Amino acid sequence: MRSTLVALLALFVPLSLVSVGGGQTLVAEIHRQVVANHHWLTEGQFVDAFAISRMAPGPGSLLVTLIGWHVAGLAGALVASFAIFAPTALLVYGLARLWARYRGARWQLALEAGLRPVAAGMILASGLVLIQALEGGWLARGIAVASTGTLMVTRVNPLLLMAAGAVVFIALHGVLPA
Amino acid sequence: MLDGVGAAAVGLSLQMGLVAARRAAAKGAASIAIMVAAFVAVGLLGVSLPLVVLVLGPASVALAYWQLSRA
Repeated sequence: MRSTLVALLALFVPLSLVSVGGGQTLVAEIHRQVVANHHWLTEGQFVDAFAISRMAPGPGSLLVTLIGWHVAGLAGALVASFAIFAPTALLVYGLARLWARYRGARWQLALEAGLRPVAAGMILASGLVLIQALEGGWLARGIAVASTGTLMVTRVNPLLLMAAGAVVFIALHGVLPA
Repeated sequence: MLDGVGAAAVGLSLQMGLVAARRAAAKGAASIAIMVAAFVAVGLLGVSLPLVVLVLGPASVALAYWQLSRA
């Protein structure tokens, strides 16, 4: 139990510190560690946890809370949440004053511009890993692609989109070959 | 049912990635190269993410700094 909590800390504290550009940049790495390395969750459980974290109100880091919960109950949920949140919070707190004082400085602009493509590549990797992790065959992948396309051209509410995904999946699941 | 929700939720992540990629791509070839390197390292090769950020991050920031100082 205690070793599991330590493992949760060891996994999420470093990730917290490199979460440039938000939690979505981390999903590919979290998946690799949690599913492939530690075998804490199956592919299906991981996608479910991801889906719940996007459905529920609140921060996307809920994914990490759910993983902690799954692995070690309440203590796991608390430790995982603390590990993903506290280091970033401290870092931002420390940087905020520095940031305000040197607003518009060249190093600041370079930092923002330089980290953006790194974050973009990481988010794309998250998308790839998630689509590979999907259970439900080509129907699920088709829904993922349709959902992406819909979001690119409209401003549909994400909750509505996920509800539509569920309806389409149920409606077509029995009809289409897997 | 959660399978369908999960599939649609994956779309949220993909869309976010595509929007970020489009923005990064507009910044020129170097930016695209760094984005592709991050994608390949994390998504295809499974390189540890902290390592990727610690290597590509400073390189990319240094490049951006150099480009800013030339402009």
